[in-house]
Amino acid sequence: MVEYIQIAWQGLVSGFAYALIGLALVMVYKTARILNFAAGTMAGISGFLAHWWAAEQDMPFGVAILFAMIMTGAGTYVVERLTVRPLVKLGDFLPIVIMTLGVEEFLANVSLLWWGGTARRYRVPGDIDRINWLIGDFRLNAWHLVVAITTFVTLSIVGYIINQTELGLGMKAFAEDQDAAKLMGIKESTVSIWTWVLSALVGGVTGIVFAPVLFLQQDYMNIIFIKGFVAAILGGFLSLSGGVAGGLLLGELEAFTIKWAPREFAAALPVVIVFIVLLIRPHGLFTREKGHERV
Amino acid sequence: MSDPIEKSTTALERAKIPLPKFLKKNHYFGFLGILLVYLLAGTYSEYSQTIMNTIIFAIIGASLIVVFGMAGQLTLGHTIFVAAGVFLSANITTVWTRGLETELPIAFGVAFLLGLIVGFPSLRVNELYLALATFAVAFVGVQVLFEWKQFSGGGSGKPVGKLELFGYEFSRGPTLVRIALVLMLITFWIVGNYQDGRTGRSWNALRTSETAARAAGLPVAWLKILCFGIGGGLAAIGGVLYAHTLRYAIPENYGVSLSIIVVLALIIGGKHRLMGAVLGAAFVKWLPELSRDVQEYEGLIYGGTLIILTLIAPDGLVGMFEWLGERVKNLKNGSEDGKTLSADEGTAPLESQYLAPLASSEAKGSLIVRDAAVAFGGVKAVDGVSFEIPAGGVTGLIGSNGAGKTTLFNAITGHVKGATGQFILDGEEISQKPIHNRALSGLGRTFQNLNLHDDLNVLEHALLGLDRNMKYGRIAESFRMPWVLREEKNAHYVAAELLDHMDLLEYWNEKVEDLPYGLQKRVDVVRALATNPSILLLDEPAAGLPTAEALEMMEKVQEYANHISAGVLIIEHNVELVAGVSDRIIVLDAGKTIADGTPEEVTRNEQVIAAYLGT
Repeated sequence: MVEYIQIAWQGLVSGFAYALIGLALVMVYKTARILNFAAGTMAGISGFLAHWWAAEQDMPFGVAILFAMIMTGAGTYVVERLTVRPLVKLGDFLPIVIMTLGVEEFLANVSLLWWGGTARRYRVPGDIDRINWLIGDFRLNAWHLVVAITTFVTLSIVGYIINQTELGLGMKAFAEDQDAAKLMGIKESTVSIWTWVLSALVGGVTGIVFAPVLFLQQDYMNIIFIKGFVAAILGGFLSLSGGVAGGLLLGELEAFTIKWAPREFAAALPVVIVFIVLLIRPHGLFTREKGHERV
Repeated sequence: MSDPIEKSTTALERAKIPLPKFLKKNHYFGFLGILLVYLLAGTYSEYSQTIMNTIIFAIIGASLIVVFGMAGQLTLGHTIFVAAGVFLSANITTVWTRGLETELPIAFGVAFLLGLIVGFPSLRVNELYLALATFAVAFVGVQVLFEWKQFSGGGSGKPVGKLELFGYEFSRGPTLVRIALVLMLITFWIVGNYQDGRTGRSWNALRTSETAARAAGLPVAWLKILCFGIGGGLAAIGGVLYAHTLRYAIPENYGVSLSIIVVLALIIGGKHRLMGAVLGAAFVKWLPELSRDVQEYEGLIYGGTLIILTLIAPDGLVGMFEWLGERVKNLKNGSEDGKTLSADEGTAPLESQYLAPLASSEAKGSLIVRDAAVAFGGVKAVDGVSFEIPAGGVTGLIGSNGAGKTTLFNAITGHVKGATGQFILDGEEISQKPIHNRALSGLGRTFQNLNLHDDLNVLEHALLGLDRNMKYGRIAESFRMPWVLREEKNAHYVAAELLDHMDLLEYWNEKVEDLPYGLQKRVDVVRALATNPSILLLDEPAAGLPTAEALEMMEKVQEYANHISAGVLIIEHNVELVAGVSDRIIVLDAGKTIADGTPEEVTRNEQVIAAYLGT
């Protein structure tokens, strides 16, 4: 029994990462109908910055995190203005997707040049990631607890912003109907840029808290990006809570698959899930089918 | 030659529309370039490896043109096909000890089938999803290869055997480059053949509007899956060559990053032209040769170039050169050379040898609609409508806004889901058929809100309509068989006459997005007429046109419909216009038929006056 609880907890922890990235992807897709292929790399750079500043530049951990978040926000602001914004008025999303691919390639190589291709493992101050508590036979890692708390705090803040602030209202308006929102006097470029920044910050938090769990390698967030995307598909890509729930579900599925199935299958699990979901419920597990395209 | 009709000029000749030929200018240029490389390949140089890689990347680029450039499916999982080629080659040469004659067909076949599977999500999701779904395929593909040690050798990889063809062993140096060139020639030739044929045209069409492509009778689902199959198969050929150059197949080389590089290369080169595949491959492969510094910043430069090119030249390097070329040409010529047609009037289009055979004295078929109903949530947009459109003749369908006219059209053509009732065309029940099969059964339609293929020209729209009655198969098209060209030529003649009839001939080479609204409406009608339908559904074909122009156009449509004996059902708000052209008018109100009769009867009907005409 305890063994299963242990697996379930493990699944939940990875699920948090998928949920957060899924949320970040859905956020931008929902408001701007754009998929940001650079999201994983951007999150990875945030994580690298924070841990690199803290471990190698002797910055206090808290300050390093703060600086990393500021850099993430500012960097995203610049990237959105320089690359995505000029293409939005063309009204075609394909060039934008290609653009984010270019940004991905560019940023990935910047970070490769900066930090090199070898994997590093940074310690957390106080070695929190090495503390393990035993509750009966259940082993609880202290950093995993930090991950859980950070996830809840992040989700609450995002929830607050979406439900209680003007930005959130604008995001919802754009998600509902782009043209109507514009006619109501909501400025598209303002809503878009702050959605991008918010999404990048959520990604940055994920990158930072998961760096000690994974090896910090130049592309360490890519795998989480893929799985975050699978989470978003599970949730129907248009529902924020669906994306989160999809992430947690994927985490659990993965944890239990690794226990019971051969490794080839565990590796292929995300794609298998994508195919099955697209086959049976292309609109996601948690949302109902929307109306049809008008001709 | 005594036949007077054959002597007079055809519309095609007057508009100087070029016909598809067996050998094009591109073919000669291609041959020359390749001959040059072929000769150079013999002289060993430090660059022969780069030449080889460029050829391989050009082949992969050409295969991507099929999927991405033509069909518009952004795929980031293209390397799994390359990987399939590489590892099949490694296994066939070492385990079976067979040569290229076995490797190439098996690699093509396996990757083709794999492509059909990978292409499957494209039926269910939009392009954004597809990009990520294929991204996931690439990502997971490598991991599966990694774990499938028997096939791939796991992390350490698998050696590739000898380079053999029918038992003759070749040295790898210059001979491999020559073999690669021949394969590149074949790949480019095949992709080029698609560009000239019905499959390529259909792919181009579905890229811009799937809805309209279906209405023209194109099997969109099959075409989408097929583009992945063919693209995958051709990419695997590049993979086989890659295996022989590298001599060692290692799974981790075929991951997401290679997938992204091949897409970036094609976009940088230009995704609509074969030359783009060459330029992109050359860019990616020759840049690192420049210097060591460049090598280090390789990825940075690709990413940066892509960002800049996407902003300034969305059609890549080829697009940039073409634009420059046109600039230079315009500078030389001063102004554009006149588009005017030659003064020779030629034969009346309907009597020309190309349209005359389409004439049928016998009406083709009738359309019976029984109890048609469509509900959106609780709102019944169409509520139990029944009528019969007799073969031949024009029937008007009028009603106020929201009366359910367009929804009824969509129910008949299958463009709205959840419609109930029976639709019988020409004695054949079509209610359960998918959209394109209804179109193939003889249902032609236009759209209320223009639904054209923006970057195709007017002639191509007519040819898309003619696709319904084309006979040649896709395999014959791949190899540019004589009968394919014969049929294409004939279709060009027919299309030109049809354009002439609808007064669109002088615009044949214009992209439809550059045309004024009224002409775009006409292009929509031409596409529907070209399918040679039994029943033609016209949804406000004259909306927004001045009455005189609208009348002129309606006369032309009516004339053509009479010529081919098609029945016409037309939605139109301009009652004067409808009454002028129709033999009979059906009036809808709130989803129900409230009147059905001759124009005189209907315009005198009190219920109609109350509901629609007003007081």
